[in-house]
Amino acid sequence: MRSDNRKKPVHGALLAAVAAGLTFLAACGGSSSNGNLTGVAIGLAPSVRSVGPAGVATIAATVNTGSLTWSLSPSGFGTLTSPSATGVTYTAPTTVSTPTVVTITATSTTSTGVSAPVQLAVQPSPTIALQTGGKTVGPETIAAGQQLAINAVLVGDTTNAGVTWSLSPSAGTGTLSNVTTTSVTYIAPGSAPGNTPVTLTATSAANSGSIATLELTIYPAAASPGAAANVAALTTSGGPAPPGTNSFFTSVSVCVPSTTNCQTIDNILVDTGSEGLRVLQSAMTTVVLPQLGDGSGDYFNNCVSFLDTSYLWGPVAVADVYIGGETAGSAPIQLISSGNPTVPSNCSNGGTVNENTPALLGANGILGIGLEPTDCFIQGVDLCDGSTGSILPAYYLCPSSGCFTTDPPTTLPPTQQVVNPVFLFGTDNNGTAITFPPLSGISAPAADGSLVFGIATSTNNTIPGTATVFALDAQDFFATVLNGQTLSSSFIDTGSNGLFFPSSITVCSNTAPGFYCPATQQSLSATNGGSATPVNFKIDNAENLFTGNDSAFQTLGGPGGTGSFDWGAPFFYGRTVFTQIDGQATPVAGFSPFWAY
Amino acid sequence: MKLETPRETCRTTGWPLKATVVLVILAFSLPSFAELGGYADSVEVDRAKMKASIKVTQSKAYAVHEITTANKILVREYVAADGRVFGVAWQGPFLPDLSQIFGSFYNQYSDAVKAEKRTYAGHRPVDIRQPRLVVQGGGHMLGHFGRAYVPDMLPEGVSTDAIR
Repeated sequence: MRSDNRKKPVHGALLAAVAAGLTFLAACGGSSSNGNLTGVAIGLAPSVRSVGPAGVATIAATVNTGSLTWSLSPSGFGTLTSPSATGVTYTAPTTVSTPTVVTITATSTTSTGVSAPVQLAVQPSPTIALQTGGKTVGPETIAAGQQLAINAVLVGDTTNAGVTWSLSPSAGTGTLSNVTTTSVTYIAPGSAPGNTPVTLTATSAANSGSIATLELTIYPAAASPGAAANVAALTTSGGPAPPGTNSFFTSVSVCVPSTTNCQTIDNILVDTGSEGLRVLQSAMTTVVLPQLGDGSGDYFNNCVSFLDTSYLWGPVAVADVYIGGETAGSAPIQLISSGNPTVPSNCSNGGTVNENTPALLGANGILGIGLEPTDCFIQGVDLCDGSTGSILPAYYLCPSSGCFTTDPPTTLPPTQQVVNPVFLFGTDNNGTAITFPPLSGISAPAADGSLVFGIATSTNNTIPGTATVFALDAQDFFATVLNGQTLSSSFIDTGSNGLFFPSSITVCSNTAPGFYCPATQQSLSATNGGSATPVNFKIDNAENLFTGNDSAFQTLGGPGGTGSFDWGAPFFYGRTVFTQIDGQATPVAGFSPFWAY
Repeated sequence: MKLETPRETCRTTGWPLKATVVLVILAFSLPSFAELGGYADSVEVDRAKMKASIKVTQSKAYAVHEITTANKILVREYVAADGRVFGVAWQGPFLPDLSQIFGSFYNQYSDAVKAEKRTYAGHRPVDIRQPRLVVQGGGHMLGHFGRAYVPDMLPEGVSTDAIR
């Protein structure tokens, strides 16, 4: 029994629960069985996904009946040896002038219509990787006046000739100093009119066909509010356990409100399926943020759960949040408790995994920039302030010594709820546009995109006339029709790392549980929200996709919940997707919130 | 056991829930559910305490016990003729107390989720397919849904599609 005598929320005594005409989701029809494979099934697993000149890759194959024939495209770019039903050996050409992707295809001898491809990247020599602080660098954002030390790591540079460095464009984009053949320090210009892109290129001195590039975005210093900058760089590379799996990472700066006492945190996962900035307490190494209290010695703690029944727990703190040139002042955020504090059972019993480490979370934090202003709102209804007669089990008022398992949830007014930071921006506060170029193949070592703040607030976030705007239902879902089946609880979510939908496609049984593992590539098509334009997509074998070091996967998919299509990260490759925040200024009369693409 | 006639259709009302207030629950305690694989007796006990809070719909092979928690989470429990719960489904702005509704299957479920987490970090829908337990779920913040069932407890002739 607890002994403290702290105040209880006034409405903790009596709750009216409302039963309603809630509709359970449309049946998905997907039964529990894994798809039955009839006929020929081929599985391929390359030993490596990238080779240099004269490099060798073995491709292991499994086929349930008959044998295999092998082919190479482009033909003659390297050789295939020892072809058999169990695999083949690929040897790259001794001279490789430009990076080339080769496709090796296994075809059944008993059914020539059945084949399976695998792609390998053949790199010119030497190969160059750019690093900073011993870690591979992806696209970086850098404040005006700041600098970044970069190393080039070369493999196959037999004469140790190293690299030469260059900037593009070269005027007004900063300078290079401390230049050696394997390192350089980039110094951003002292001021920038807005977000300014610049590309740093390292070119092999021995082979000018071998290059590595680093995309940098210079943003005006945080102390210059109102600047026209509204872009944050996104990348799938990096993360706490590289290679990641379709995780869109960015970095944010959090500061003690109204001070310059700040810390920049990288590897923050961008998530359009949730609301609020949540940062691992263990990542906050230099700044101590003030926690949100009731003024009487108790503090608010926050609980959220994700679609995989994992949950996050920790105190609400207040911070000035800087990202991509935008500022959210005095924003309530969640600090994800490290260690193992007592979590109220109203929070923990709904979940399974407390994601309180970088390895479990797959990131240093989550930037929730979904359709709603805070983590309590859905279509204009606040489930935490007590106005509905019930309280979401999201907030708990506890002494600084921590909570008890029996603590009930408490109410919290909207201005103190963990907030979608975009909602608090001075301008560009009505939503986001996330854009990625298409991948050149089914997967890539990394994909780099942009998170643009605001919708129709600037020249870089206008909804194109060709886009469709989608209205959403009372739970922020829309309907997707797949194979004639209506999936009524469908959604678009950068925080899901694949395309998830009910299907008879075989589910992986070994190293990639929760993903699809078809024997051959599957081509599918679905229609969203009555749109006239279908979305065509493909699904490859996840265990094959995961054999290399790639972090971006166009054709990664898996089974979803019943009656739902979860359009995760692969949907963003080759698209711009707009996410409008409910209640904010809308450029499309009658639609809020909405998705558009 | 009082049986109600099956509802004609489900209306597509979401949050806020505009329908009638049908139950009052003291404090924040969740109603006790019968657990997956267990007997439905505790549902009846709760039903007696909370009057109309649980709707029971009887079909040929099973009964559906539908309960709405104080947190507006709708839970349906599928009870076979022998009185045992062979499936559960949920929908709402937050997850229900999974340890309560999964009962003796909770550890098996939790272990399976943790095993998948160890393989690949990141979020994706739940899809657990084990010989004695199937769990599928998904959604986004404030929009969760899912279902679980024990395949070998399904009454003869009942499709898994019924559990939703």
